[in-house]
Amino acid sequence: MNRRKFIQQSAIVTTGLACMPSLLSAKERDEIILGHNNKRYRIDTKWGTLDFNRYPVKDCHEMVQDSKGRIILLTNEIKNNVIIYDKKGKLLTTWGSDYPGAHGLTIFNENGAEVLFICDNNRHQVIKTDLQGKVLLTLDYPKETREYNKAEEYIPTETSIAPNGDIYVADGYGKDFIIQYDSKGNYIRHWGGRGTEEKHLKNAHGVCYDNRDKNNPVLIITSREQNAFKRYTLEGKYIDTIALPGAWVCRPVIRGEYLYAAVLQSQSRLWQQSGFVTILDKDNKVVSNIGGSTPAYNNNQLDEMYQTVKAFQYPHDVCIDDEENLYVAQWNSGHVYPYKLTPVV
Amino acid sequence: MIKNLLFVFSCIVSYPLFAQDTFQLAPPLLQYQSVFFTGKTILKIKFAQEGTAVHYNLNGIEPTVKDPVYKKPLSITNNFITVKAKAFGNNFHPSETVSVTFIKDGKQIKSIEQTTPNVKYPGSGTSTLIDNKGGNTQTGSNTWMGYNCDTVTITLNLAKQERVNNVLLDFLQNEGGWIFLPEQIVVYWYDKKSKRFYPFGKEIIFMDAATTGANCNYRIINPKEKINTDKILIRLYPVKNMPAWHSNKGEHAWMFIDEIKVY
Repeated sequence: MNRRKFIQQSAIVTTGLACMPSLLSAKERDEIILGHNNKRYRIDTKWGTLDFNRYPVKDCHEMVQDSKGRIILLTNEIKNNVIIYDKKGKLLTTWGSDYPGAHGLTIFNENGAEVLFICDNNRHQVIKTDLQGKVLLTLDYPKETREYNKAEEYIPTETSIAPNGDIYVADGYGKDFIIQYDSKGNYIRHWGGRGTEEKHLKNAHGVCYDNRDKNNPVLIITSREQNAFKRYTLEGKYIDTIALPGAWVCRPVIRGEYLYAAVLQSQSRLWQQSGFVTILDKDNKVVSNIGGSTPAYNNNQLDEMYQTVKAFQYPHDVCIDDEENLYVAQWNSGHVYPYKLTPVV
Repeated sequence: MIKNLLFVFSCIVSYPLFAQDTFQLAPPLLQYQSVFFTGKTILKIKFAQEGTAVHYNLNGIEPTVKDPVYKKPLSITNNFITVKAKAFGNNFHPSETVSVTFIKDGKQIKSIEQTTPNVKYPGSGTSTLIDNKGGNTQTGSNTWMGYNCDTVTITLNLAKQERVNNVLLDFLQNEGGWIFLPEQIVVYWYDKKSKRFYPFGKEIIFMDAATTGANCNYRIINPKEKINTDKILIRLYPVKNMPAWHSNKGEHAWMFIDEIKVY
């Protein structure tokens, strides 16, 4: 580098610094870190972006990772209901055009073969497929419960599969019942529904088999409009409520000792793109809010939570991969593809 | 000239070095019992985000970093005090401004009758519009009466015959959520002698664009002349056809009202 060029470049740097004081903190600006405590992340909003003309999305509802490490996204866009990425965000394949109300996506390893369970809001059905999209089982509306007069009353949003293969379906946009089937799809029992008691649910949007306590697995069920998760035994007996004031939580997702959930929106700013992501520890205490307020407990009561950074609009699901990265799918957020968040060590 | 060019160039050059996702802060949370009060009320501002500060003012203009930083709850005693607040932080774009206006009690209203609201948004009973509760933007709270009919009629009986200077009505506005101000507010006063209602005042509201988010919006109706009365009749006309700029144009809008004051 000759001297003249050196001076020129120095001048650029100094003018840059002097004239744009906001860039003085460029280093910090480079480091936008979201979340709290030991769950803090860098965000990449471009991770899942694809050519919209070829691979469009509507609502990006849910995501899971398969045993090969692939990230599987479910959208209600019937041009490609299922979009499969690698962890770097490269498109691997797509399939599915029969799920106009594609909403819930759960993966289960069935004796070595991985299967998917899709909840379709519009079809009022739960559909089990293999990873290539071949239909293996279809569950229609649960007449056996005697709670439903017609299919339209049943709008399943989520499934969870117990290790023995039992299928738990959350009718989160219908009548808020949880319906339990065996692995063949035979009705076993149902519970929940709306009402005024603690055991009842309002917008039972998600269900999850929680085996963090190996000797005492339970079901965690979302009661979204009550801003809470509720715990039940595997037979549907109500245990307790995990209050999450201010947070419209979607489905709980367990990875390791932690529970992760997208929060569709803040109660304090309804229908104003006020979502964030919350993370609970093994004691079900909130330890981090990504894009949300610093979690704080007073006398064991969690302070109201709310969005503080507009990183997300309406996050709808979170997927945690085998390297602890987070993927966030969003509902009604301008056809946005999923974001990836990388932990800050 | 060269200096200027250098500056422009440096900005262009340096920007991509810092190019990454930049985000806006969400607005701070304003917490209060109700915007309607008697005597005194308290405002708390919440914003639990590290490295940020909430600046606020009472002068009605957009807050800047030169305005005071919120540190402790504010005590409100005067009518029509407007607090505006905005969050600032080094790594983020400043938030939108949030604003609240506190409204003090007016003349005593003995009783009220109104068109029955939609079953989904019944408020908290017949005195909902005169109970000094409201001013939040949550339609689910029981302070709002929600209507999606064509005409809403409200009758107010004052505690005594007296001079009425104006009438205030508090509405919710969130066009994205189909909630519009009424397209017309018409107020009548009752004349004891002739046993008839006469026009008091009216307002016609045009909405040519959506506002941002959900806001409370009060309207004051002033009479053209001095009026003494003990009874007021109000007719509200919710928007029947949402305008062309709305994504659901032509559909019937909602109207939400939570309080009426007579001064």
